[in-house]
Amino acid sequence: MSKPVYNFMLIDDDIDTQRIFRMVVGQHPHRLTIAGNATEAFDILKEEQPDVIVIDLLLPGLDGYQVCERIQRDDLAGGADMVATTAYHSVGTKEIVLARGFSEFIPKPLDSASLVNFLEQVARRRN
Amino acid sequence: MTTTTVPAPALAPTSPLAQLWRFLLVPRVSDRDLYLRERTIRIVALISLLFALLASVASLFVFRDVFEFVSYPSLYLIVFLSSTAAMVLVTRGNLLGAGWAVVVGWFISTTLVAAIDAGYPAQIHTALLLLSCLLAYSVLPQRTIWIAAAFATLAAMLPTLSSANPADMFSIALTNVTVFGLAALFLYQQSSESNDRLRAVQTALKAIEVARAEADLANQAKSNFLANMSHELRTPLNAIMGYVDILRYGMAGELTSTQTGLLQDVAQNNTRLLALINDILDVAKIESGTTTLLETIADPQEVVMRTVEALRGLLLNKNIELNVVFTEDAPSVVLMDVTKFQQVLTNLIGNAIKFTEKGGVYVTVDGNSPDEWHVKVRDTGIGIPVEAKAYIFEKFRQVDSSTTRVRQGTGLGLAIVKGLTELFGGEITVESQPHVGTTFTLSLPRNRSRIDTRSEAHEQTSV
Repeated sequence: MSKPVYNFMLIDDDIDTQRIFRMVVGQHPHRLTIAGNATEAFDILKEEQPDVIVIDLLLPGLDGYQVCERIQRDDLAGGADMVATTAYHSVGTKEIVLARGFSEFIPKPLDSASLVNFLEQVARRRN
Repeated sequence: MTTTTVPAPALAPTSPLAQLWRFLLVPRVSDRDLYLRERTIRIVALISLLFALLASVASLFVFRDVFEFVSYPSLYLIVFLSSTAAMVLVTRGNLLGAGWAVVVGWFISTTLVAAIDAGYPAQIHTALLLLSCLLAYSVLPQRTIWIAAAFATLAAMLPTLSSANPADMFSIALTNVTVFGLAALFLYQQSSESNDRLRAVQTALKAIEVARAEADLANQAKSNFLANMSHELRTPLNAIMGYVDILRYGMAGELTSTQTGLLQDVAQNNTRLLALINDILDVAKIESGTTTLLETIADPQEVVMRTVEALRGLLLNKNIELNVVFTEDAPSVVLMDVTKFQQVLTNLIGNAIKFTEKGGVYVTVDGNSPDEWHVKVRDTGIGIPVEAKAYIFEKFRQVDSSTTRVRQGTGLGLAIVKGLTELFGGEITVESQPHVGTTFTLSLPRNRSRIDTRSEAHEQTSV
Protein backbone atom coordinates (compact mmCIF):
# COMPACT_ATOMS: atom_id res chain seq x y z
CA MET A 1 0.00 0.00 0.00
CA SER A 2 1.44 3.33 -0.97
CA LYS A 3 1.90 6.05 1.64
CA PRO A 4 -0.97 8.55 1.75
CA VAL A 5 -0.23 11.97 0.32
CA TYR A 6 -1.21 14.96 2.45
CA ASN A 7 -1.76 18.62 1.81
CA PHE A 8 0.28 20.84 4.19
CA MET A 9 0.20 24.58 4.51
CA LEU A 10 2.67 26.95 6.19
CA ILE A 11 1.81 30.50 7.27
CA ASP A 12 5.08 32.19 8.22
CA ASP A 13 6.78 35.41 7.10
CA ASP A 14 10.29 34.11 7.87
CA ILE A 15 11.99 33.35 4.53
CA ASP A 16 14.38 30.82 6.09
CA THR A 17 11.57 28.83 7.64
CA GLN A 18 9.75 28.88 4.28
CA ARG A 19 12.85 27.52 2.48
CA ILE A 20 13.52 24.88 5.11
CA PHE A 21 9.88 23.71 4.90
CA ARG A 22 10.05 23.64 1.11
CA MET A 23 13.25 21.57 1.10
CA VAL A 24 12.29 19.21 3.90
CA VAL A 25 8.71 18.56 2.76
CA GLY A 26 10.06 18.45 -0.83
CA GLN A 27 11.73 15.13 -0.02
CA HIS A 28 8.26 13.59 0.26
CA PRO A 29 5.33 13.33 -2.13
CA HIS A 30 3.19 15.68 0.02
CA ARG A 31 1.79 18.93 -1.23
CA LEU A 32 2.88 22.20 0.43
CA THR A 33 1.49 25.71 0.05
CA ILE A 34 3.09 28.71 1.75
CA ALA A 35 1.63 32.04 2.82
CA GLY A 36 3.65 34.93 4.23
CA ASN A 37 0.76 36.59 6.07
CA ALA A 38 -2.90 36.26 7.00
CA THR A 39 -4.32 37.86 3.81
CA GLU A 40 -2.31 35.55 1.56
CA ALA A 41 -3.35 32.62 3.70
CA PHE A 42 -7.06 33.41 3.43
CA ASP A 43 -6.69 33.77 -0.37
CA ILE A 44 -4.95 30.42 -0.68
CA LEU A 45 -7.57 28.78 1.53
CA LYS A 46 -10.25 29.64 -1.07
CA GLU A 47 -8.61 27.13 -3.43
CA GLU A 48 -6.78 24.71 -1.15
CA GLN A 49 -8.03 22.14 1.34
CA PRO A 50 -4.99 21.51 3.59
CA ASP A 51 -4.94 18.66 6.10
CA VAL A 52 -2.57 20.46 8.44
CA ILE A 53 -1.80 24.18 8.69
CA VAL A 54 1.38 25.27 10.46
CA ILE A 55 1.02 28.85 11.70
CA ASP A 56 3.80 31.04 13.08
CA LEU A 57 2.51 33.01 16.08
CA LEU A 58 4.34 36.22 15.18
CA LEU A 59 3.02 37.38 11.82
CA PRO A 60 2.77 40.84 10.29
CA GLY A 61 -0.84 42.05 10.52
CA LEU A 62 -3.06 39.46 12.18
CA ASP A 63 -0.95 37.33 14.51
CA GLY A 64 -1.01 33.54 14.64
CA TYR A 65 -3.67 33.37 17.33
CA GLN A 66 -5.97 35.68 15.36
CA VAL A 67 -5.43 33.72 12.15
CA CYS A 68 -6.30 30.50 13.97
CA GLU A 69 -9.40 32.10 15.47
CA ARG A 70 -10.56 33.46 12.10
CA ILE A 71 -10.04 30.15 10.33
CA GLN A 72 -12.08 28.38 13.00
CA ARG A 73 -14.80 31.01 13.24
CA ASP A 74 -15.39 31.33 9.50
CA ASP A 75 -14.65 27.64 8.87
CA LEU A 76 -12.11 28.58 6.20
CA ALA A 77 -10.19 25.31 6.19
CA GLY A 78 -12.83 22.63 6.59
CA GLY A 79 -11.62 21.75 10.07
CA ALA A 80 -7.95 21.28 9.17
CA ASP A 81 -5.66 20.75 12.16
CA MET A 82 -3.74 23.84 13.11
CA VAL A 83 -0.22 23.60 14.50
CA ALA A 84 1.41 26.61 16.14
CA THR A 85 5.11 27.36 15.85
CA THR A 86 7.27 30.15 17.23
CA ALA A 87 10.81 30.97 18.32
CA TYR A 88 9.34 32.99 21.19
CA HIS A 89 8.45 30.16 23.51
CA SER A 90 9.29 29.04 26.98
CA VAL A 91 7.99 26.50 29.45
CA GLY A 92 4.20 26.64 29.33
CA THR A 93 3.84 28.02 25.80
CA LYS A 94 2.44 24.69 24.59
CA GLU A 95 -0.35 24.77 27.18
CA ILE A 96 -1.28 28.33 26.23
CA VAL A 97 -1.30 27.50 22.53
CA LEU A 98 -3.43 24.39 23.01
CA ALA A 99 -5.91 26.38 25.09
CA ARG A 100 -6.36 28.85 22.24
CA GLY A 101 -7.50 26.51 19.49
CA PHE A 102 -4.35 24.92 18.09
CA SER A 103 -4.10 21.16 18.19
CA GLU A 104 -0.29 20.94 18.36
CA PHE A 105 2.80 23.04 18.99
CA ILE A 106 6.27 22.81 17.38
CA PRO A 107 8.94 25.00 18.96
CA LYS A 108 11.55 26.70 16.80
CA PRO A 109 14.31 25.78 15.99
CA LEU A 110 12.46 23.12 14.02
CA ASP A 111 13.80 19.60 14.00
CA SER A 112 14.12 18.85 10.28
CA ALA A 113 14.59 15.13 10.90
CA SER A 114 11.22 14.64 12.55
CA LEU A 115 9.20 17.48 11.02
CA VAL A 116 7.49 15.60 8.20
CA ASN A 117 6.92 12.56 10.36
CA PHE A 118 5.21 14.76 12.93
CA LEU A 119 2.99 16.49 10.36
CA GLU A 120 2.03 13.11 8.89
CA GLN A 121 1.02 11.92 12.34
CA VAL A 122 -1.20 14.94 12.89
CA ALA A 123 -2.81 14.44 9.45
CA ARG A 124 -3.30 10.72 10.00
CA ARG A 125 -4.94 11.27 13.36
CA ARG A 126 -7.46 13.53 11.72
CA ASN A 127 -8.31 11.23 8.81
CA MET B 1 -2.43 29.72 36.94
CA THR B 2 -3.58 30.30 40.46
CA THR B 3 -5.11 33.32 42.04
CA THR B 4 -5.05 33.88 45.75
CA THR B 5 -7.67 36.04 47.35
CA VAL B 6 -6.90 37.58 50.70
CA PRO B 7 -10.00 37.49 52.92
CA ALA B 8 -10.98 40.83 54.39
CA PRO B 9 -10.02 40.95 58.06
CA ALA B 10 -13.04 40.34 60.25
CA LEU B 11 -14.14 43.55 61.96
CA ALA B 12 -13.90 43.30 65.72
CA PRO B 13 -17.21 44.19 67.36
CA THR B 14 -16.89 47.69 68.86
CA SER B 15 -19.12 49.44 71.31
CA PRO B 16 -20.67 52.80 70.28
CA LEU B 17 -18.52 54.47 72.94
CA ALA B 18 -15.34 53.03 71.42
CA GLN B 19 -16.52 54.14 68.00
CA LEU B 20 -17.11 57.69 69.29
CA TRP B 21 -13.70 57.64 70.97
CA ARG B 22 -12.08 56.61 67.70
CA PHE B 23 -14.04 59.22 65.74
CA LEU B 24 -13.04 62.03 68.09
CA LEU B 25 -9.48 61.19 69.03
CA VAL B 26 -7.80 58.87 66.55
CA PRO B 27 -5.97 60.81 63.82
CA ARG B 28 -6.67 60.05 60.17
CA VAL B 29 -3.25 60.99 58.76
CA SER B 30 -0.55 58.34 58.45
CA ASP B 31 2.54 60.59 58.40
CA ARG B 32 4.25 60.30 61.80
CA ASP B 33 4.92 64.01 62.18
CA LEU B 34 1.42 65.07 61.23
CA TYR B 35 -0.02 62.27 63.35
CA LEU B 36 1.32 63.81 66.55
CA ARG B 37 0.03 67.22 65.55
CA GLU B 38 -3.43 65.95 64.73
CA ARG B 39 -3.57 63.96 67.95
CA THR B 40 -2.60 67.01 70.07
CA ILE B 41 -5.17 69.20 68.31
CA ARG B 42 -7.87 66.61 68.89
CA ILE B 43 -7.07 66.14 72.57
CA VAL B 44 -6.70 69.86 73.35
CA ALA B 45 -9.81 70.82 71.39
CA LEU B 46 -11.87 68.13 73.06
CA ILE B 47 -10.71 69.06 76.57
CA SER B 48 -11.33 72.79 75.87
CA LEU B 49 -14.77 71.97 74.52
CA LEU B 50 -15.66 69.95 77.59
CA PHE B 51 -14.26 72.70 79.82
CA ALA B 52 -16.32 75.37 78.07
CA LEU B 53 -19.51 73.33 78.36
CA LEU B 54 -18.99 72.38 82.00
CA ALA B 55 -17.91 75.89 82.99
CA SER B 56 -20.93 77.45 81.25
CA VAL B 57 -23.28 75.14 83.08
CA ALA B 58 -21.46 75.66 86.37
CA SER B 59 -21.46 79.46 86.02
CA LEU B 60 -25.28 79.42 85.72
CA PHE B 61 -25.54 77.89 89.19
CA VAL B 62 -22.42 78.91 91.07
CA PHE B 63 -21.54 82.40 89.87
CA ARG B 64 -25.04 83.65 89.06
CA ASP B 65 -25.12 86.22 91.85
CA VAL B 66 -21.54 87.40 91.64
CA PHE B 67 -21.09 90.44 89.41
CA GLU B 68 -17.41 89.83 88.56
CA PHE B 69 -18.23 86.59 86.87
CA VAL B 70 -20.78 87.98 84.45
CA SER B 71 -18.07 88.41 81.85
CA TYR B 72 -16.98 84.82 82.07
CA PRO B 73 -19.68 83.38 79.72
CA SER B 74 -18.16 85.36 76.85
CA LEU B 75 -14.84 83.64 77.63
CA TYR B 76 -16.54 80.25 77.62
CA LEU B 77 -18.22 81.11 74.36
CA ILE B 78 -14.85 81.89 72.75
CA VAL B 79 -13.33 78.64 74.04
CA PHE B 80 -16.42 76.74 72.90
CA LEU B 81 -16.38 78.29 69.42
CA SER B 82 -12.63 77.88 68.87
CA SER B 83 -12.55 74.27 70.02
CA THR B 84 -15.66 73.38 68.01
CA ALA B 85 -14.10 75.00 64.96
CA ALA B 86 -10.91 73.01 65.61
CA MET B 87 -12.83 69.74 65.87
CA VAL B 88 -14.79 70.39 62.70
CA LEU B 89 -11.67 71.42 60.78
CA VAL B 90 -9.63 68.46 61.99
CA THR B 91 -12.41 66.06 61.01
CA ARG B 92 -12.36 67.58 57.54
CA GLY B 93 -8.61 67.06 57.36
CA ASN B 94 -7.67 70.76 57.62
CA LEU B 95 -4.83 70.48 60.12
CA LEU B 96 -3.51 74.01 59.64
CA GLY B 97 -6.90 75.65 60.23
CA ALA B 98 -7.59 73.45 63.23
CA GLY B 99 -4.19 74.24 64.72
CA TRP B 100 -4.75 77.98 64.39
CA ALA B 101 -8.27 77.71 65.82
CA VAL B 102 -6.89 75.99 68.93
CA VAL B 103 -3.99 78.42 69.33
CA VAL B 104 -6.00 81.60 68.76
CA GLY B 105 -8.71 80.36 71.13
CA TRP B 106 -6.14 79.77 73.83
CA PHE B 107 -4.38 83.09 73.42
CA ILE B 108 -7.61 85.09 73.39
CA SER B 109 -9.03 83.31 76.40
CA THR B 110 -5.85 83.60 78.48
CA THR B 111 -5.64 87.30 77.66
CA LEU B 112 -9.34 87.74 78.33
CA VAL B 113 -9.05 86.15 81.76
CA ALA B 114 -6.36 88.62 82.69
CA ALA B 115 -8.38 91.54 81.30
CA ILE B 116 -11.60 90.56 83.08
CA ASP B 117 -10.11 89.76 86.46
CA ALA B 118 -8.18 92.68 87.92
CA GLY B 119 -6.75 90.60 90.77
CA TYR B 120 -5.39 87.98 88.44
CA PRO B 121 -1.71 87.26 89.23
CA ALA B 122 0.63 88.20 86.41
CA GLN B 123 2.73 85.06 86.99
CA ILE B 124 -0.23 82.80 86.23
CA HIS B 125 -0.92 84.84 83.12
CA THR B 126 2.68 84.40 82.03
CA ALA B 127 2.56 80.67 82.77
CA LEU B 128 -0.66 80.25 80.79
CA LEU B 129 0.79 82.18 77.87
CA LEU B 130 3.90 79.99 77.94
CA LEU B 131 1.61 76.96 77.86
CA SER B 132 -0.13 78.51 74.86
CA CYS B 133 3.23 78.95 73.20
CA LEU B 134 4.09 75.28 73.76
CA LEU B 135 0.68 74.36 72.41
CA ALA B 136 1.30 76.49 69.34
CA TYR B 137 4.67 74.82 68.93
CA SER B 138 3.12 71.37 68.94
CA VAL B 139 0.05 71.98 66.79
CA LEU B 140 1.28 74.47 64.18
CA PRO B 141 3.61 73.79 61.29
CA GLN B 142 7.11 74.75 62.31
CA ARG B 143 7.53 77.44 59.68
CA THR B 144 4.67 79.50 61.20
CA ILE B 145 5.92 79.25 64.78
CA TRP B 146 7.30 82.81 64.88
CA ILE B 147 3.83 84.22 64.11
CA ALA B 148 2.56 82.40 67.17
CA ALA B 149 5.45 83.77 69.22
CA ALA B 150 4.69 87.35 68.13
CA PHE B 151 1.08 86.74 68.97
CA ALA B 152 2.11 85.58 72.47
CA THR B 153 4.28 88.63 73.06
CA LEU B 154 1.42 90.90 72.07
CA ALA B 155 -0.98 89.01 74.30
CA ALA B 156 1.48 89.25 77.16
CA MET B 157 1.48 93.05 76.97
CA LEU B 158 -2.26 93.53 76.76
CA PRO B 159 -3.29 93.03 80.43
CA THR B 160 -0.61 95.45 81.60
CA LEU B 161 -2.54 98.24 79.87
CA SER B 162 -5.38 97.92 82.37
CA SER B 163 -3.10 98.11 85.39
CA ALA B 164 -3.42 101.28 87.48
CA ASN B 165 0.19 101.56 88.55
CA PRO B 166 2.53 102.69 85.69
CA ALA B 167 5.56 101.16 87.43
CA ASP B 168 3.73 97.81 87.66
CA MET B 169 2.72 98.15 84.08
CA PHE B 170 6.28 98.72 82.95
CA SER B 171 7.87 95.89 84.94
CA ILE B 172 5.19 93.37 83.95
CA ALA B 173 5.48 94.37 80.31
CA LEU B 174 9.27 94.11 80.42
CA THR B 175 9.20 90.68 82.08
CA ASN B 176 6.63 89.37 79.66
CA VAL B 177 8.34 90.69 76.57
CA THR B 178 11.70 89.27 77.71
CA VAL B 179 10.22 85.88 78.57
CA PHE B 180 8.32 85.63 75.29
CA GLY B 181 11.13 87.03 73.23
CA LEU B 182 13.42 84.33 74.60
CA ALA B 183 10.73 81.68 74.22
CA ALA B 184 10.12 82.73 70.64
CA LEU B 185 13.82 82.63 69.86
CA PHE B 186 14.22 79.24 71.55
CA LEU B 187 11.22 77.73 69.75
CA TYR B 188 12.29 79.15 66.42
CA GLN B 189 15.78 77.74 66.79
CA GLN B 190 14.43 74.39 67.92
CA SER B 191 12.07 74.17 65.03
CA SER B 192 14.62 75.21 62.43
CA GLU B 193 17.19 72.76 63.84
CA SER B 194 14.83 69.84 63.97
CA ASN B 195 13.58 70.87 60.56
CA ASP B 196 17.12 70.70 59.23
CA ARG B 197 17.68 67.32 60.84
CA LEU B 198 14.38 66.04 59.57
CA ARG B 199 15.11 67.34 56.10
CA ALA B 200 18.56 65.70 56.11
CA VAL B 201 17.11 62.36 57.17
CA GLN B 202 14.33 62.65 54.61
CA THR B 203 16.81 63.51 51.86
CA ALA B 204 18.99 60.53 52.79
CA LEU B 205 15.99 58.20 52.88
CA LYS B 206 14.79 59.46 49.54
CA ALA B 207 18.25 58.97 48.05
CA ILE B 208 18.34 55.40 49.31
CA GLU B 209 14.88 54.75 47.92
CA VAL B 210 15.79 56.22 44.55
CA ALA B 211 19.01 54.21 44.44
CA ARG B 212 17.18 51.01 45.26
CA ALA B 213 14.45 51.68 42.74
CA GLU B 214 17.11 52.39 40.13
CA ALA B 215 18.96 49.17 40.98
CA ASP B 216 15.71 47.19 40.79
CA LEU B 217 14.89 48.82 37.51
CA ALA B 218 18.35 48.11 36.12
CA ASN B 219 18.13 44.49 37.21
CA GLN B 220 14.66 44.21 35.71
CA ALA B 221 15.92 45.81 32.50
CA LYS B 222 18.82 43.37 32.38
CA SER B 223 16.50 40.39 32.86
CA ASN B 224 14.06 41.70 30.27
CA PHE B 225 16.93 42.27 27.88
CA LEU B 226 18.21 38.73 28.40
CA ALA B 227 14.73 37.29 27.94
CA ASN B 228 14.19 39.22 24.71
CA MET B 229 17.69 38.46 23.47
CA SER B 230 17.35 34.72 23.92
CA HIS B 231 14.03 34.82 22.09
CA GLU B 232 15.63 36.81 19.28
CA LEU B 233 18.64 34.49 19.10
CA ARG B 234 16.38 31.53 18.40
CA THR B 235 15.16 32.91 15.07
CA PRO B 236 18.57 32.89 13.31
CA LEU B 237 19.48 29.69 15.13
CA ASN B 238 16.34 28.13 13.65
CA ALA B 239 17.63 28.94 10.17
CA ILE B 240 21.16 27.70 10.91
CA MET B 241 19.98 24.43 12.42
CA GLY B 242 17.47 23.91 9.64
CA TYR B 243 20.02 24.39 6.84
CA VAL B 244 22.66 22.25 8.60
CA ASP B 245 20.12 19.46 8.96
CA ILE B 246 19.13 19.75 5.31
CA LEU B 247 22.79 19.43 4.35
CA ARG B 248 23.73 16.60 6.69
CA TYR B 249 20.65 14.50 5.93
CA GLY B 250 21.54 14.74 2.25
CA MET B 251 18.42 16.66 1.28
CA ALA B 252 20.56 19.00 -0.82
CA GLY B 253 22.74 16.39 -2.47
CA GLU B 254 25.24 13.68 -1.54
CA LEU B 255 28.10 14.57 0.82
CA THR B 256 31.49 13.00 1.50
CA SER B 257 31.90 11.35 4.88
CA THR B 258 34.27 14.16 6.00
CA GLN B 259 31.62 16.75 5.15
CA THR B 260 28.95 14.79 6.99
CA GLY B 261 31.24 14.50 10.00
CA LEU B 262 31.94 18.20 10.09
CA LEU B 263 28.25 19.03 9.79
CA GLN B 264 27.65 16.59 12.64
CA ASP B 265 29.99 18.70 14.78
CA VAL B 266 28.22 21.89 13.71
CA ALA B 267 24.89 20.35 14.66
CA GLN B 268 26.22 19.32 18.07
CA ASN B 269 27.43 22.82 18.78
CA ASN B 270 24.09 24.19 17.63
CA THR B 271 22.37 21.97 20.16
CA ARG B 272 24.64 23.22 22.94
CA LEU B 273 24.07 26.81 21.89
CA LEU B 274 20.32 26.23 21.93
CA ALA B 275 20.51 24.71 25.42
CA LEU B 276 22.45 27.75 26.61
CA ILE B 277 19.92 30.14 25.10
CA ASN B 278 17.05 28.23 26.69
CA ASP B 279 18.74 28.28 30.10
CA ILE B 280 19.48 32.00 29.90
CA LEU B 281 15.86 32.61 29.01
CA ASP B 282 14.69 30.55 31.98
CA VAL B 283 17.00 32.35 34.42
CA ALA B 284 16.05 35.75 33.04
CA LYS B 285 12.36 34.95 33.34
CA ILE B 286 12.74 33.69 36.90
CA GLU B 287 14.78 36.76 37.89
CA SER B 288 12.45 39.26 36.29
CA GLY B 289 9.54 37.61 38.07
CA THR B 290 7.68 36.88 34.84
CA THR B 291 7.65 33.13 35.34
CA THR B 292 4.13 32.08 36.18
CA LEU B 293 3.08 28.75 37.59
CA LEU B 294 0.49 26.61 35.83
CA GLU B 295 -0.54 24.47 38.78
CA THR B 296 -2.66 21.38 38.38
CA ILE B 297 -3.56 18.53 40.69
CA ALA B 298 -1.14 15.75 39.84
CA ASP B 299 0.23 12.46 41.11
CA PRO B 300 3.89 13.18 41.94
CA GLN B 301 4.79 9.48 41.85
CA GLU B 302 3.61 9.22 38.28
CA VAL B 303 5.40 12.44 37.31
CA VAL B 304 8.66 11.30 38.92
CA MET B 305 8.47 7.91 37.19
CA ARG B 306 7.81 9.55 33.82
CA THR B 307 10.75 11.95 34.25
CA VAL B 308 13.13 9.19 35.32
CA GLU B 309 12.14 6.97 32.40
CA ALA B 310 12.79 9.82 29.98
CA LEU B 311 16.31 10.14 31.39
CA ARG B 312 17.27 6.47 31.04
CA GLY B 313 18.87 7.32 27.72
CA LEU B 314 21.67 9.10 29.59
CA LEU B 315 22.73 5.75 31.12
CA LEU B 316 23.52 4.22 27.71
CA ASN B 317 27.33 4.38 27.87
CA LYS B 318 27.54 4.20 31.63
CA ASN B 319 27.70 1.29 33.99
CA ILE B 320 25.60 2.77 36.79
CA GLU B 321 22.09 2.15 38.08
CA LEU B 322 19.16 4.52 38.40
CA ASN B 323 16.63 3.59 41.08
CA VAL B 324 13.43 5.19 42.32
CA VAL B 325 11.85 4.47 45.70
CA PHE B 326 8.55 5.79 47.00
CA THR B 327 8.11 5.50 50.75
CA GLU B 328 4.69 4.52 52.11
CA ASP B 329 3.86 8.06 53.09
CA ALA B 330 4.77 9.50 49.67
CA PRO B 331 1.87 11.68 48.53
CA SER B 332 -0.20 10.64 45.55
CA VAL B 333 -1.91 13.99 45.09
CA VAL B 334 -0.27 17.42 45.13
CA LEU B 335 -0.93 20.73 43.46
CA MET B 336 2.03 21.64 41.26
CA ASP B 337 3.33 22.93 37.97
CA VAL B 338 4.18 19.59 36.40
CA THR B 339 6.31 20.90 33.52
CA LYS B 340 8.50 23.07 35.73
CA PHE B 341 8.80 20.37 38.38
CA GLN B 342 9.99 18.01 35.65
CA GLN B 343 12.54 20.62 34.59
CA VAL B 344 13.91 20.75 38.15
CA LEU B 345 14.02 16.98 38.45
CA THR B 346 15.60 16.54 35.01
CA ASN B 347 18.36 18.96 35.97
CA LEU B 348 19.09 17.23 39.28
CA ILE B 349 19.00 13.66 37.95
CA GLY B 350 20.83 14.62 34.76
CA ASN B 351 23.61 16.22 36.82
CA ALA B 352 23.80 13.21 39.11
CA ILE B 353 24.19 10.84 36.17
CA LYS B 354 26.74 13.12 34.51
CA PHE B 355 29.03 13.18 37.55
CA THR B 356 28.74 9.52 38.57
CA GLU B 357 31.03 6.89 37.09
CA LYS B 358 30.33 3.94 39.38
CA GLY B 359 27.53 2.98 41.73
CA GLY B 360 24.34 4.75 40.87
CA VAL B 361 21.74 7.47 41.22
CA TYR B 362 18.97 6.92 43.78
CA VAL B 363 15.77 8.92 43.82
CA THR B 364 13.57 8.78 46.95
CA VAL B 365 10.16 10.37 47.31
CA ASP B 366 8.68 10.68 50.80
CA GLY B 367 5.97 12.63 52.55
CA ASN B 368 6.80 12.29 56.23
CA SER B 369 5.47 15.77 57.04
CA PRO B 370 1.87 16.98 56.87
CA ASP B 371 2.69 20.07 54.81
CA GLU B 372 5.66 19.00 52.75
CA TRP B 373 6.88 16.25 50.55
CA HIS B 374 10.47 15.54 49.62
CA VAL B 375 12.44 14.35 46.65
CA LYS B 376 15.98 13.21 47.37
CA VAL B 377 18.41 12.70 44.50
CA ARG B 378 21.46 10.84 45.83
CA ASP B 379 24.44 9.81 43.75
CA THR B 380 27.70 8.02 44.41
CA GLY B 381 29.64 10.36 42.17
CA ILE B 382 32.65 12.61 42.57
CA GLY B 383 30.93 14.90 45.06
CA ILE B 384 31.25 18.63 45.60
CA PRO B 385 34.29 20.13 47.41
CA VAL B 386 33.37 21.79 50.70
CA GLU B 387 34.43 25.24 49.53
CA ALA B 388 32.27 24.95 46.42
CA LYS B 389 29.04 24.24 48.27
CA ALA B 390 28.49 27.92 48.93
CA TYR B 391 28.25 28.89 45.30
CA ILE B 392 26.93 25.93 43.33
CA PHE B 393 23.47 27.54 43.12
CA GLU B 394 24.89 30.72 41.64
CA LYS B 395 24.75 31.56 37.98
CA PHE B 396 27.67 30.54 35.76
CA ARG B 397 29.56 29.05 38.72
CA GLN B 398 30.74 25.54 38.15
CA VAL B 399 33.09 23.58 40.29
CA ASP B 400 36.62 23.96 38.93
CA SER B 401 36.84 21.74 35.89
CA SER B 402 40.58 21.20 36.05
CA THR B 403 40.49 19.16 39.25
CA THR B 404 37.14 17.51 39.56
CA ARG B 405 34.50 17.85 36.93
CA VAL B 406 34.47 17.76 33.22
CA ARG B 407 33.02 21.08 32.19
CA GLN B 408 29.72 20.46 30.51
CA GLY B 409 26.40 22.22 30.40
CA THR B 410 25.75 25.88 30.87
CA GLY B 411 26.43 26.52 34.54
CA LEU B 412 22.86 27.71 34.85
CA GLY B 413 21.14 24.43 35.70
CA LEU B 414 21.31 24.69 39.49
CA ALA B 415 20.44 28.41 39.44
CA ILE B 416 17.28 27.49 37.53
CA VAL B 417 16.58 24.62 39.93
CA LYS B 418 16.89 26.91 42.93
CA GLY B 419 14.84 29.70 41.33
CA LEU B 420 12.02 27.38 40.35
CA THR B 421 12.01 25.58 43.71
CA GLU B 422 11.61 28.90 45.48
CA LEU B 423 8.85 29.84 43.08
CA PHE B 424 7.07 26.61 44.09
CA GLY B 425 7.33 27.79 47.71
CA GLY B 426 9.86 25.05 48.44
CA GLU B 427 13.49 24.75 49.34
CA ILE B 428 16.55 22.89 48.11
CA THR B 429 19.50 21.72 50.17
CA VAL B 430 22.65 19.84 49.32
CA GLU B 431 24.90 17.49 51.25
CA SER B 432 28.07 16.18 49.71
CA GLN B 433 31.31 14.43 50.43
CA PRO B 434 34.04 14.44 47.80
CA HIS B 435 34.50 11.04 46.16
CA VAL B 436 31.60 9.58 48.17
CA GLY B 437 28.58 11.24 46.70
CA THR B 438 26.06 14.07 46.71
CA THR B 439 22.46 14.32 47.88
CA PHE B 440 20.13 17.08 46.77
CA THR B 441 16.93 17.34 48.81
CA LEU B 442 13.88 19.15 47.49
CA SER B 443 11.26 20.11 50.08
CA LEU B 444 8.02 21.06 48.36
CA PRO B 445 4.67 22.25 49.74
CA ARG B 446 1.73 19.88 49.45
CA ASN B 447 -0.72 22.77 49.00
CA ARG B 448 -3.38 20.67 50.71
CA SER B 449 -5.79 23.46 51.53
CA ARG B 450 -5.71 24.69 47.95
CA ILE B 451 -6.26 21.16 46.65
CA ASP B 452 -9.38 20.93 48.83
CA THR B 453 -10.79 24.22 47.55
CA ARG B 454 -10.06 23.16 44.00
CA SER B 455 -11.76 19.77 44.34
CA GLU B 456 -14.73 21.45 46.00
CA ALA B 457 -14.98 23.91 43.14
CA HIS B 458 -14.69 21.00 40.77
CA GLU B 459 -17.49 19.09 42.51
CA GLN B 460 -19.69 22.13 42.43
CA THR B 461 -19.23 22.65 38.73
CA SER B 462 -19.75 19.00 37.91
CA VAL B 463 -22.99 18.73 39.91
